Amino acid sequence: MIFWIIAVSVTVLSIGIIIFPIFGGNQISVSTLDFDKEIYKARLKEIEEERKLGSIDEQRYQYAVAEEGRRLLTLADKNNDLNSTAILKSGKSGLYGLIFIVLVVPVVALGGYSKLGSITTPDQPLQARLEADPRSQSVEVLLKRAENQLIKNPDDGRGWLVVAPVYMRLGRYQDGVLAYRTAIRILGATTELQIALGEALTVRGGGVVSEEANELFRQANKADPENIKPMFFLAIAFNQVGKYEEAVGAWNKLIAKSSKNAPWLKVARQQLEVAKTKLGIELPGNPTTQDIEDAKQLSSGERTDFINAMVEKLAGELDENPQNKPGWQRIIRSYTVLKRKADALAAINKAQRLFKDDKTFLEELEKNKQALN
Amino acid sequence: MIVELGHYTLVLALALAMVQSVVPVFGAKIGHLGLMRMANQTSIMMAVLISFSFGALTWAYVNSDFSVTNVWQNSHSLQPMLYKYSSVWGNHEGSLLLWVLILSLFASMVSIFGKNLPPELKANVLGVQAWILVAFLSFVLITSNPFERLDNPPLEGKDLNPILQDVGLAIHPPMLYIGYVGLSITFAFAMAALISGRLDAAWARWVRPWTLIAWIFLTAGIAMGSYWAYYELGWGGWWFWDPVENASFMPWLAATALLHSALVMEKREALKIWTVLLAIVAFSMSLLGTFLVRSGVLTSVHAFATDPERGVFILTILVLFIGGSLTLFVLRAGILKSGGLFAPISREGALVFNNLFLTSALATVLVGTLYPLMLEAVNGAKISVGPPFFNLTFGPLMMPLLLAVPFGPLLSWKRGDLLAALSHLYWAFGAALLAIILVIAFSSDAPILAALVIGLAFWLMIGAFAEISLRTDVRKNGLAKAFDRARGLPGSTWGTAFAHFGLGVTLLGIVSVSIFETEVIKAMKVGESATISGHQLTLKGINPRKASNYNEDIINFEVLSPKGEKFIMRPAKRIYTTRRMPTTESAINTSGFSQLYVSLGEVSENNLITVRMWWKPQVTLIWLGSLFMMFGGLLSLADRRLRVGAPKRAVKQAKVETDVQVPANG
Repeated sequence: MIFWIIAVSVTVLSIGIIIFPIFGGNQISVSTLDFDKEIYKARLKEIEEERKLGSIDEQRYQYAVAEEGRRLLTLADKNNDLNSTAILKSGKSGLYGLIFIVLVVPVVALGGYSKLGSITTPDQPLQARLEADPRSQSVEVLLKRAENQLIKNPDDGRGWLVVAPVYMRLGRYQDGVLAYRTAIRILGATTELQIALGEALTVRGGGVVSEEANELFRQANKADPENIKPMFFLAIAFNQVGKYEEAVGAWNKLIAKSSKNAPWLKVARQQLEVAKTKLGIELPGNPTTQDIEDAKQLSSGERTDFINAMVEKLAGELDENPQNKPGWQRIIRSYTVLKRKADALAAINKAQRLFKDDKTFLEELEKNKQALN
Repeated sequence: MIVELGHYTLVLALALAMVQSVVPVFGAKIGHLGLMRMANQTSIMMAVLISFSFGALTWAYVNSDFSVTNVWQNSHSLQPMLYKYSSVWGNHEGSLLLWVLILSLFASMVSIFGKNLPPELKANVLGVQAWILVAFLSFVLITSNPFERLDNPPLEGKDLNPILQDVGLAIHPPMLYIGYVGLSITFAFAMAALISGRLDAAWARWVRPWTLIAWIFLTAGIAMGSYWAYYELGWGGWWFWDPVENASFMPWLAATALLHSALVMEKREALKIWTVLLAIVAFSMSLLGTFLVRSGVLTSVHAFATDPERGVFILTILVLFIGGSLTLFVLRAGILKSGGLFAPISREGALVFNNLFLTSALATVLVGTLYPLMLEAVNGAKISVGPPFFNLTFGPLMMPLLLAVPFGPLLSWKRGDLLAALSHLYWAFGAALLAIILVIAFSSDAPILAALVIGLAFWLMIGAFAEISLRTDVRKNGLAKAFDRARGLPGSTWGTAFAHFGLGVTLLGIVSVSIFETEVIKAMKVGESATISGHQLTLKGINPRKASNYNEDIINFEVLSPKGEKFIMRPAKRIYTTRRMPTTESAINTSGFSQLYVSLGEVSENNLITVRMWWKPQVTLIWLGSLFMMFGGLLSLADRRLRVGAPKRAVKQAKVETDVQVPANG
C-alpha cells in the first residue's frame, strides 16, 4: 500500500511539474532571429578582442568585420519579413497538450508497471537476510552467516568446527575437509578431530580410505585403542589394499569389542567374510586368482575356450545359488561379449524374475536387453 | 521497496519521454511557447527519475540483494566495494540502464545550459532526444529489464566476469557511453534543423562544443579500453581491429570529421548541409556500435538468430533512427541554405580534405566490420577480417591526411597560400628529415617505410605548433610580448595544437612498438633466467595468495635492467572461485616511455612455467598521445568564445519568466 501511495504521489508530482510551464508566465513575442543576432554580436566582439591582442592582422580583421556586418544586415532584412510568423502565441492548444499529458502519463506509468513489476517481492539485502531471527532460517542461511563470521575472523577454530559437519551433511565434502583441516591447524590435533578429518577425507574419496586418512586413524587408534571408529576404518583400509590377514584380525577384534546390537556389526561381518574369502575360500562365481594366471598363459583360441569354460562354470553356480547379483551381471556381460544373444536374453529374463524388487538392477537389465536388440 | 520504486520510476520516465517526444515538437510547430517550454521541466524530471532508478539498482548491487536477478547473475557478496559498483554496468541490462541515464542527463543539460537557444530549436532538440529515450527505455523495460526479481533468492551471486573486475573496466564503459550518447545531442540538433527547415546561427555554435564533449570522452573511452586490453588480456597487443573496438572507433572517426566541419560552419557558414549529414552519421555510428556490442550479433550471427528478441529490437531502433533521419535529410536538406564560397586551397578546403579522408577511413572500417557478419548471415561462413585488411586500407588513407594536418591551421579562410604555409613549417620539415636520417643510420633492420612514418610523426608533432609560433612570432615581438600573445590566443588555437601534437605522439608510439618490439617466450623453472633487450629476468619463486573472491599464484621475477637497476616484477595467475575461471595478470614495468611486459602462460607438470616477455619501446606514447588529444579538446571546450548570451529583449522580461535568465556571456 505504501508503495502505491508513493508511486501515485511521484506521478502526480511529475505531472504537476511538467504542466506548470504550459500556463505559467506571460507569453512574449521574441523573434527567434533575435537569438541569431545575439550570436553575431558576440562574434564581432571576439574579433575585436583578437585584434586587441594582435593575433590577427589588420587585413584579416577588416575581412572578418565586413563579413559579420554583412550577415547581420541580411538578418535584419529577414527579421522584418519573418517577424509575424515568429510571434509566440498561447491559447487553446495548451489545453490539448495538458489533456494529452494527464491521460498518457498515469496510464503508461501505472499500467506499464502493473504489467512489469513485482510489487509483492520485498527488498532482500543479504546482510538483513543473514541477521533475521535464526529460528526461522534455513540451514543454508545459518551456514552463510557462520561463513561470513569466519571471513572476518578466520582464526576462530570453534567456528570451523561448527561449519565442518554442516558441510558434510550438505554434501559439500571438499569444504568439510578444508574446515576440519583449518580447525586442526588452529586448535591442534585431538583424537576426535583426527577421526573427523579422516572420516571426511574418506567420504570425499567415495569410501576409499586414503593414505592420509589411514595415518590419521592409526594415530587416533594409538591414542585411544578403545575407540571403535578408527578401528573400523583401519579394517576397511586393510580390505581395500588387499591385506586380508590383517583385515581378518582387525574385524574379529572389532566385533569382539562391539556390543551385541551395534549398528556397524552387519557391515563388519560382511567385510570379514570378504576378507576371509579372499584369503582362502573364493566367493562363489568369481574366477580365482589361479584362473586369471592360467588365462594369461593361453593362446587366443585357447583363451576363448577357457572363457567359455569359465562361463559354463559360473552358469552352473548360478543354478545352484541364484541369489548372486554380481554373478548375474557378470554372466550377462559375458554372453553379450561372446555374442551368445539367446543365452544372454534368457539370463536377463531369469534375473528379472529373481530380482523383481530391485528397481535399479531391473533398469540396468532393461538397458542390457535393449543393447542386445 | 527501493528496488520496486526504482523500477516504477523507470516506467514513469518512459511515460514522460512519450509526452516529451510529442508535445514540445507540436508546440514548436504551432508556435505555442508554453508547450515548448514544458520540455525543460520534463527533461530534468526524466533525468531525476532515471537517476533514482539507477541509484536503486546500485543499492541492490551494493547490498547484494540477490532477489534481483540481475544482481544475482553479476555480482558476489565478497567482491571489493568498487567492483560492486562497477558490476552495475558490467552486464547487458545494467549497461543499457547507464546508457539511458547518460542520455537523460545530456537532455537535461541541454535544457539547463540552453538558455540562449531559440525556444523553437530547443523544443525540437529536446523532442528528438525524447524519441531516442523512448526507444531505449522501451528496449530496457521490454527485453533487458534489470529489475526482474527472483522469488527464492540464492544466498550467493554468480560473480562478475573476472576479466571485468578491474579498475580500467570500471570507468571505461561510462566514458565510452558519454561519448556515444553525447553525439545524440548533435544528432538532435541536426534533426531539429531538418524539422524546422532552418539552421539558426546558434546551431553552429552549439554543434562544436557538444561534439567536443562527446569526442573527448570517446577518446578517453577508446584509449582506456585499449590500455585495458593491453594489460589485462595478457597478449600484449593494444589494438586488434576487433569489431567491439571498431564499434567505438567508427563514431570517433565520424565525430572527428564532424568536429572539423563544424568549425567551417561556425566560422564561415559553409558546409552546412554536409555538417548536418555528418551529425546524423556520427550518431548512427554510435547506434550501430551499441547494436553490435549489445545484440549478441558479434558472438555469432546464429546465436543472434536463435534468440533474436533483443537483436531485432535494436535493429528496429537502428533502422528507424538511421533510416528515418536520412530520409528526412533527403526530403528537407534542399530547404537549408548553403553558405559561403571558398577556394580549394584555403582553411575550408583543408577541412574538406580532412573530412573526405576521415569519412573514407570510416567507410573502410565499416566495411571491414560488417562484411564478415553479412557473409556469415548469407552463407554461414565464419571469416575474420583481421589487421591485414585494415592495415592495407586504413593505413594508406591516413598517411596523406596526416601529412596535411600541419597545413590546415596555417591556411587562411576563403583563399589560402600553400607556399606561405609551407614556409612556416620548415622547422617541422627539418625535424622530420632529421628523424628519418637518424632512424636509417642507427637502426639497420628498420624498414624504410618505418623511418618515413617516424618522420611523419615528428612532422606532426612539431608542425602542430607552427600556428602558435606564427601568431606569437618571438623574433619580431621579443619573448615577453610573444608570451603575452600566446596567453591571449583563443583556447581553440591551443586546443588544435595539442590535439594535433597528440596525434603525432600516438603515431610515434604505434610505429616504434610495431617495428622495434621484441618478444621472448621461454619455459622457466624457479631459479632460471631469461634475457630480453638487455633485461635479465630471474624467476625467484611462486607465492600463493588468497583474496576475497579469488586465489592467485604470484610469480616473482627479479629483473636486472641494462642500466644496472634491480626491481621485482610480479605477474600472476588467478582463479576466481565462484566462476572457476582463470585469468592472467601481466606485470608491466615502465622506464621512460617504454615498457617491459611479462605475462604467464601454462604451467606444466614439472613446474615449468611458460613466460612471455616483451620489450615494448615507446609503447606508452600511444596512450600519452590520446591524453594530449583530450587535453586539446578540453582547451578548445574551455574557449570563452563559445558562450553566447540570450537576446536582450528576452532578458528584460526575465523577471516574469522562469527559464530565461541572465546571459551566460560574461
